Amino acid sequence: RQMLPRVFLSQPLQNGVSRYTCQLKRITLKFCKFRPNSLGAREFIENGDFLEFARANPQVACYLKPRRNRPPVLQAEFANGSVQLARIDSFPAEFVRRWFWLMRGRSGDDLLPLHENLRSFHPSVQGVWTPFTFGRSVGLGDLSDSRHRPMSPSATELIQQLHRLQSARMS
Amino acid sequence: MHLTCPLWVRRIPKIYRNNDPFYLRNLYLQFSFLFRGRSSRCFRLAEQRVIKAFQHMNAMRAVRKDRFKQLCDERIDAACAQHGIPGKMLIDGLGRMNIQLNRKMLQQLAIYEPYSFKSLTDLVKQYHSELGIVPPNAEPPAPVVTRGLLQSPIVPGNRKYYE
Repeated sequence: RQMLPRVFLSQPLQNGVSRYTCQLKRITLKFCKFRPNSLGAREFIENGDFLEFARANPQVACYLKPRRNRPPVLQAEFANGSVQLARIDSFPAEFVRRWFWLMRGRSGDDLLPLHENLRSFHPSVQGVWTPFTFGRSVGLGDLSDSRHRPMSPSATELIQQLHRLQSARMS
Repeated sequence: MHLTCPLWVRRIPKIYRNNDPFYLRNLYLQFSFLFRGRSSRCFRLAEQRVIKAFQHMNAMRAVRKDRFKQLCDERIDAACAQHGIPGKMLIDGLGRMNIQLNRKMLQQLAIYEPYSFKSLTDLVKQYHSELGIVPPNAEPPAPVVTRGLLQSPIVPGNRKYYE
């Protein structure tokens, strides 16, 4: 009961099947101009990596928000309306860069444990196994083995009962 | 548990202990959302159930892996049994022939690709019959010309793949 719900791998509106649209719409980098934990964010901007990201991704609106005395944060907003925050407190500039490019690849869906890392709508080429795939070699179960017995005896069983009674009477 | 992004971390920071008790109790109650009865409303009950829930989550991680492994083994065993060999013989035989398929893939083949799986069992039966081991209750496989390659697969042509 305490297991986290697992989901199947999916993309919003089957993104990527025929056409791919970048799901990231807006990315905001909030940082402080003075405090040391924003150093990585400041270096990321000054080295030109931020502009490089913005030019390489014209579909994403990139914002910078200098905020005094606040820890640095990356806020990414996606096409499905979800907002994801990444705390980049005391990160080196390279890590900030990697977070930017990671958000660019995300779909905005919640991060939940997956049943499987793969998903296919046609998992079987030869046909999924059934008890009849290799003939009826897999016993489908006689009714006598089954735990689910019908309420009234079948006609065969009635005749068998009569036969047993009769043979008992005769002997 | 209903875990939102901040609760996902599943940690109760020590900082909450030395401050206003409201914050710690509120956190426990957030974790106990959707629990049964007063355990979801009253802190003194929620605390116990939440701690136990975390213990269960922790313990289940190892158990879950074992259970899926067991399920995997059962499936391979059942699929092999239809073709008349025990599951262990399949895994051992494939290993000896240097066919590197793990249990997860064998399970997927058995479910979704039954004829490929059958061909694997045939291969194992052929290998064992060449050594003189006949699995009981097995139909003999269709005669295959192997030229001894199952027993000694390294020939001058494919030596580089075995180095």
